[in-house]
Amino acid sequence: MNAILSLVKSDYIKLLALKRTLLLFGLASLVFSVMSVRFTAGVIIGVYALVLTVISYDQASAVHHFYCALPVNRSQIYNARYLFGFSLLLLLSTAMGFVAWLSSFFTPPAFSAGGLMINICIGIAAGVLYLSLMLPLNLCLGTQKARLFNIILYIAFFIVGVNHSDFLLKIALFLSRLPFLLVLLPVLLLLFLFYFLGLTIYNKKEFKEES
Amino acid sequence: MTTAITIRGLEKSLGNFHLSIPSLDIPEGYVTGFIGENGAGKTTTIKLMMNGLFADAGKISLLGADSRQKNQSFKQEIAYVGDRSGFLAQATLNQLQAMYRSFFTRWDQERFQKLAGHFDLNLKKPFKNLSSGQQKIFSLCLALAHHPRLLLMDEPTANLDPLIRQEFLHILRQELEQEGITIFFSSHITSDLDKIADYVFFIHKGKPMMDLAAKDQLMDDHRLVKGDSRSLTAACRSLLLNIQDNGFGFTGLTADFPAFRALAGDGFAYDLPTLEDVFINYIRGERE
Repeated sequence: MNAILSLVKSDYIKLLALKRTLLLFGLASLVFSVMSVRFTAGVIIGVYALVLTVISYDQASAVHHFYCALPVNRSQIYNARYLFGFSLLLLLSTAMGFVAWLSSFFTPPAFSAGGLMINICIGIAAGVLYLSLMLPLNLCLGTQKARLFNIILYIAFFIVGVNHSDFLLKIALFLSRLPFLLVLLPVLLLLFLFYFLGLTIYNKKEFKEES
Repeated sequence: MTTAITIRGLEKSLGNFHLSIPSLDIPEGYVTGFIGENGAGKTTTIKLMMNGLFADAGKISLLGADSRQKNQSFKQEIAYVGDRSGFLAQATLNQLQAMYRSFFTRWDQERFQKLAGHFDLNLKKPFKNLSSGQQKIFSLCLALAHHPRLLLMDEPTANLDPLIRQEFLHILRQELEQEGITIFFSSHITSDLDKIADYVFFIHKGKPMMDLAAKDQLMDDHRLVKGDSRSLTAACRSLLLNIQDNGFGFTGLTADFPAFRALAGDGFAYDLPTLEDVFINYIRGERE
């Protein structure tokens, strides 16, 4: 199996091993999915808790000893973490969207069909933005050194997600009227800028005990 | 003789500590003991080999491949058992082996099951519920299950009880006989290396104390000499390291037993030293 896919697989196995975290935050996200104004917050809770939990536990168990034993280089480790984060974001958003759609058969729907799609898109966009900031920070600095940034990032994204979903919807509606590339380009630029900056630093990172 | 590990001009600074190994060639197919006190540079050297740390200068080759090269696939033939495993403590042994095996093309599930069975490892147990000895044994089972040509181990027998340590060394001996692998084994427990090592390399304060030596030759060359201090001539003293005088006489280590005996004759007691005797006397001799 490709080394990056093997690393992603090992991250998912770790998540299964941390079943209490997976259950608690997975369920919390699904509960948020049926509340129209809190859909984005649910995505952020899930992504924050699940991705950061795996990174934190890795650091606590000095995972660099495990990496040293494997036929992988630092770029592959870094890329695998991105793939893990973004695949989890997609899975979570899809599951949340499915639960929101399913719940509409039993309770008065929180979304119109179009509203649900917009919420999923906002959730994914917020998740991408959150991950593109959170992943390089935590991979390069380690979760201990990055903890202050983590708290600030989480609070900022969570508060916006919970309290200002109408505001986000207005932004989304405004953006939907702009040419697609004009919206996509700045987000992609930010994502790639942080990605390459983080990759350059991570490639030079030595695996010491606090890594 | 082909070499499994080659080091040339290795330099690495970490804070106040400086590691410097000008040259080292570890022969393939043998057990080499890497001996040094805590903080001597053993872990740093092995981390440099495994690309966990980067050298300030010099080069390390493992099975002919540059340890820093971008393509790390040469590690398919290398196994590493570190002082810590890096495994998620909450994961079960089954989950950990599922993580590990997908990286290795030559993974042998039957062999893993056999090794785990030999040590009565319950694969449904979480890693954290294993004793530290069982955790090391599990790491060794994983390391050997992909048929490595080179096994690097950092203090693998530290904190193991004597029974588990014997089992551990027994497995290593078996590997050597059946698979012909090269074992590079750092330890400050020299009694383990007395039993298993073919070659030894001593390191002290980040520098080699002597060139790589065949253990049997080292033992042949060295003797612990004991006797009456008054019979010790200046010429004899010059052939002794770390002379310890006490009320009953002296003890010292000679690195040239044939020359010493030719000079001093049979008036002294000559004891075969252990690796620990050699190591300690060299360090004390250097301090003097």
